Amino acid sequence: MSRSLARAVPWFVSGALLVAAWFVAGATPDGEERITEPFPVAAEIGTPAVGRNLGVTVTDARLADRVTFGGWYAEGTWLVLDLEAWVVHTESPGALSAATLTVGDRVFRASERAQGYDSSASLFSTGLSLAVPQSGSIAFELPADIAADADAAVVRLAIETEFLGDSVIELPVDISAVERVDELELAATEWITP
Amino acid sequence: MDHAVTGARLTRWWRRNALALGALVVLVPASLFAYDALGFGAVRNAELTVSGDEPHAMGGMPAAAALGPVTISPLERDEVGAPRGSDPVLVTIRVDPGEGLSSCRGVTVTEPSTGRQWRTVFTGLTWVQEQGQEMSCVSDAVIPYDVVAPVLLSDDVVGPLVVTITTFDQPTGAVLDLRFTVEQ
Repeated sequence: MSRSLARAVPWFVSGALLVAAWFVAGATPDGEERITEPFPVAAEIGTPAVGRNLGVTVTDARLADRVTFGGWYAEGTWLVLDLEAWVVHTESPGALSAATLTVGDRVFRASERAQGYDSSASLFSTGLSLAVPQSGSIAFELPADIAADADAAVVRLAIETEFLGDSVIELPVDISAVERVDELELAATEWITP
Repeated sequence: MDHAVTGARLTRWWRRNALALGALVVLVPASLFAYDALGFGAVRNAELTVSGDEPHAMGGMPAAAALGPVTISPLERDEVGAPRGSDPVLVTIRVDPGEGLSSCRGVTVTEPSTGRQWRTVFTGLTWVQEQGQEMSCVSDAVIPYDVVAPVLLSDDVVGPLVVTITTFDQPTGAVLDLRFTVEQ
């Protein structure tokens, strides 16, 4: 190997490494803000969706003009999900602490109104079990014009109170096509194998 | 190329890279320490793993409080209203009051082979605590008592299990996750 070629080798190697680093940087998350991004897990009605520590099967989605639970009721526009939920790895933490419906730029948090009457009226904020799934409802109180909103709607469910750095179950909902009923009794939270 | 020339080049290489090598000598152990001890900023309590077969004295003082032994005993599923597919148990931790223990709470059961972790069930069971049983440590207790925790294990759980309870010592501010290994 001539002396000039020997001197050129480190430059070629350095150039090749820089090009490789450029490809690696392009293929990997860009920036520290991505560290806390959620890991979406797509869900559909009737099929289990399992993330790092949250498993969910949404069994039904309906709109109602009035929801009831025992002697409690509330009128308005409600999106009610019936679902089964469980934790996969740990019960600590293991509550279904985050449940939102996003329609375009608008984000609606799951309602806790019925839980003021009876804590078993919603799975929202309920501690989930590693041993046996629990079934129940989650309800979103929405503005009356929501069914006419053409934007895509997504329900997001997670263990932590914010969707940061963990799995998030994402269920697309076509609100304009969801069955609408006059009145709906919320399902009580209970074990699926009593 | 003879050995003398090769040796001289190697010596020069070590000298040229002395600064970088010195940095490696410092940074590699520092990184290991940061990963293991500091947890990169994660909030983590101090942990101590002990046998669940005998009492563990807190802090080693003469009048120290003691926790243990720890037992995991089965509960009758139908009696406590536990669902099928679960294995309801009662974790019992003997507490001898004394110095070094102001309060304790947060009983969990971990299956070391899988990392699965169960916590105390506060609602959903019809289990009722008996006289002399507490759900957390009692700061003004003077006689021994039991801290108990009903836990709904999965029916495929495999022992040995680790029972963890977080202890607090008010005067010193010490927080300790005490981990008891329990054969089941």
